Amino acid sequence: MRLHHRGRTIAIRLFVIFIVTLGSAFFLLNIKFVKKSVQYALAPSTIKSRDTLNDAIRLLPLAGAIEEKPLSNKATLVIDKIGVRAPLVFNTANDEDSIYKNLEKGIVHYSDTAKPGLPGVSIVLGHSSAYPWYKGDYGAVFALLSKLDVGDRFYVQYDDNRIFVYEMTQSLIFNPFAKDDRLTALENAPGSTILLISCYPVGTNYKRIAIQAKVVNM
Amino acid sequence: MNTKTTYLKGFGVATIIGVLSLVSVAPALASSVLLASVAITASPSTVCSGQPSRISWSSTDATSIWIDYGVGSVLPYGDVYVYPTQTTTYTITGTNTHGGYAVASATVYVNGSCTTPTPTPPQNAVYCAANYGYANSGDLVTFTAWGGNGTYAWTAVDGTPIYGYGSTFATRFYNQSFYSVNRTIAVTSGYQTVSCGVTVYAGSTWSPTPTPTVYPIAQMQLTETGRNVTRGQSGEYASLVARGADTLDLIIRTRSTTGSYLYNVFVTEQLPAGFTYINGSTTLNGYVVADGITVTGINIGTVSPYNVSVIKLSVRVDGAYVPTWGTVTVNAIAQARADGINTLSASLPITLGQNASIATISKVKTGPADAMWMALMVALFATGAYATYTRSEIFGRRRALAEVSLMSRTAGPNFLK
Repeated sequence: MRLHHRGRTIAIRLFVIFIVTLGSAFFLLNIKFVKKSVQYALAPSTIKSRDTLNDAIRLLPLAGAIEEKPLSNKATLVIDKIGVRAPLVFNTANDEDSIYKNLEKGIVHYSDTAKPGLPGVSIVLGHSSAYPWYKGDYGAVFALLSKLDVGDRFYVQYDDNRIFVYEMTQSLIFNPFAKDDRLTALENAPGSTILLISCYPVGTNYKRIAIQAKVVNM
Repeated sequence: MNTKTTYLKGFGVATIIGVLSLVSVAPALASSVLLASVAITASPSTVCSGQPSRISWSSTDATSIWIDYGVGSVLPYGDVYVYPTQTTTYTITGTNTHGGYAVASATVYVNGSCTTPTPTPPQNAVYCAANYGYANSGDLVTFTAWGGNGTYAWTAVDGTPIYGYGSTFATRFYNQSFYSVNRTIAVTSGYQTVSCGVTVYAGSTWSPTPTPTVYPIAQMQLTETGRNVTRGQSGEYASLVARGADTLDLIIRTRSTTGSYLYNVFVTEQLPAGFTYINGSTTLNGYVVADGITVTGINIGTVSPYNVSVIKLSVRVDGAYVPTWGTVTVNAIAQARADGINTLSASLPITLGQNASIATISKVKTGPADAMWMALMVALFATGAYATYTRSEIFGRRRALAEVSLMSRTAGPNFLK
């Protein structure tokens, strides 16, 4: 009887140890995402609805229809709602190693696509989460993409102060390793659109989340 | 100076003119004939073959003056160097609109080839001319010199010595008499000196001459922009991104940047390989014009000062020329020229590429690749370590001690008895 009781106690202990260790390890490995999520959860609603876009527009001209000079290779993506303000990295090689390296410097623009603001589909990649020892400052820059809702606005500001304002039109979660016809519609979207792509759910890389937005100031 | 003047009817200067007409026409008409006179001299009158001789001439009341042997139409006064290789008689003919004419000639004798080299270095002939053949008293007259060695010195006007340098020289001549007077100015370039003149009307008939409009040098600006119609672009951009089968609008602007007109503006468009012009798509300032801008070009006529002419044409991108991987940038090149203006070029960079493949891009892992696995491994390791510990002697001993301790607390102090 005692032996049986002893065995059950040990089993319970092993189970608790397993669960606690698993949770703790996962928590620590995704501490960047956890930190962002906690900040977002604790932030007052005034911060979540902060709109630097309006301030920027008051100070800077929106990109006009006639562009006298090409867009530069220095720009910043600003998504107030989820606290994103990160440089866009242009002119990168499109092999994975180069992209991983450039993800340490910010959000990577996939150079085979149109630049934000130009006609066509512009695709940018950002980390959703990274290990605590990740070197770059942007390991969880897109951690909260799923918090965005249709109609939310964000903007891309080039270093010459030209601003392109985007309005979210849809979000899509897909398996990158399976054929998905919904992607075709995103790839052939008319006008000037941007796709923000990151891994989903946060802390994994099983799926992807794509946020589609269209330019609204053209 | 040997002067040989041929008199048509003579008193030192050929002065007739209209005499024959007087003879042949009715008296009423003859009374309206205005006499003209011309004179011509050659100095020296004898030269070696190919050596210069200075031909000088003057005229009175002749509105059209002509010298043969290649000199051509000349101003009322002036001189020019000639280089005859054989004895030549230069004849000057002056006429006016009232029916008068005069003829005079001067002969330059060529005395074979000289045995000694010419002391003067070869040099282009120098010329000069006034901007007006006639002027009112007080008018500003501008003289221009060309040819020679490129440097010019202006000297001695009739009666009034004035001096200046440069290819142009401007001065005013005053005539307060009742008769027209001739004023001559000389310009020296290297070892050559020529003179040119102007007839200044009598001061009594002087009236202010409206200041001639001075047009600035015409300048042209050419720009090329475009839009990707297929991609829904409505503005104009300095560079484009295009894919196969896209339709692009190309917009060419030709602007006169000064107060001058641009005449005979001719515009062409060179399309990159893989771009097809859409027939009937060319417009000029909104109006459809004939095709041909991408082949031979089109003449858009005149562009007014500070105005701009806008040409728009549409082209289609052939998908076969779009790279299957990566992008390539090509240029659409517009060229324009106008009267007196060299050809200008402007280009529009167009980046060609395939549709972005989201599936390809999404292969990049932007999340921790194996965080869950790592956490699982850590948890299994910790659990396994604890399980191993429960089977160890240490665990058993500690467990036994714990049970003894528990029993002692339960049974009290007599537990061991």
